[in-house]
Amino acid sequence: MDKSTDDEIIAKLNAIDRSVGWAVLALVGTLVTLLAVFAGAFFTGHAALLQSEGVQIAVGILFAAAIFVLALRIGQRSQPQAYLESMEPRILRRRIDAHHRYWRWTLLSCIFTSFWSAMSLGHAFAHVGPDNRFWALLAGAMFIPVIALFSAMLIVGPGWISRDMHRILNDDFIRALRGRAERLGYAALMIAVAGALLVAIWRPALTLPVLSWALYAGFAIPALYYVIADWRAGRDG
Amino acid sequence: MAERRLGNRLKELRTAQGLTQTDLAALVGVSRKTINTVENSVFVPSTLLALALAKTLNATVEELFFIIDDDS
Repeated sequence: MDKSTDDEIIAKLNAIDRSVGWAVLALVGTLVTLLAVFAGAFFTGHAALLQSEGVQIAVGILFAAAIFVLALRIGQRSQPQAYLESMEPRILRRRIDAHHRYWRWTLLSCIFTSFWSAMSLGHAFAHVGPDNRFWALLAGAMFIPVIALFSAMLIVGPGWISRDMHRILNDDFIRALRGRAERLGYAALMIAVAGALLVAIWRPALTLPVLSWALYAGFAIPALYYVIADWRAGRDG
Repeated sequence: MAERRLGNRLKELRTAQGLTQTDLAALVGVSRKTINTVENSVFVPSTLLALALAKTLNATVEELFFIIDDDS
């Protein structure tokens, strides 16, 4: 159990709010840059490029990023207003509850983002050819860090950026819930990879797309379990 | 062999002292969800949390928690 004073906890919560704000700003900046690139290609007479396989993948990635940003914004809006930040322990606990709610939204956005990323990768592998190998590699390069990062987020838990925040937000119940989700994720991953191996024996050409979905299942199933169980835990009583 | 579950009188003792789940959570230093899930036997608390709950409610751990034997 955390022994920080209420003032210290509130200061740390404020610090993480600011860091989330910067993360959202960075993602919005990335989106604007991508949109500018697409608009540039369109207005300089390279519209034919927009019909290629690669562009479809890139649009999928763009859409996933937009959902991610939107979920983060919703999560931020769920935070209590500044005037609620008092020394009152009840208010402080509600503030921590709000961060848990924000974390559920973040995980949900991760599930959707990685879904689009896995779909893009599966689509790219299914249609890979000499002329679009670059786009398949790009989709793979996007999916691998995305799924690794999201899995790390699920394993480490809320407040994963800061060790202090992590200690505050991960009490006994959250640690137990994470343990259950991780066990479920291990089982889901083993079953999915075994299934992918069976598919590889039957149709080797489908190995890579199925493997990407197996990795997705290894993250999405425990993440969804965590979100639902955490929401139900806070609902009753 | 009989299955063993952990029962508790947390809600009873908490309400007897006029505390809400949020009040108790603030006093113990955990989230309201932790109190809620312990009360509903969804989550078995650690020894540390059980001791902290008992101390906060001025009770012994045995008064707060007990074993339920389910015959299989």
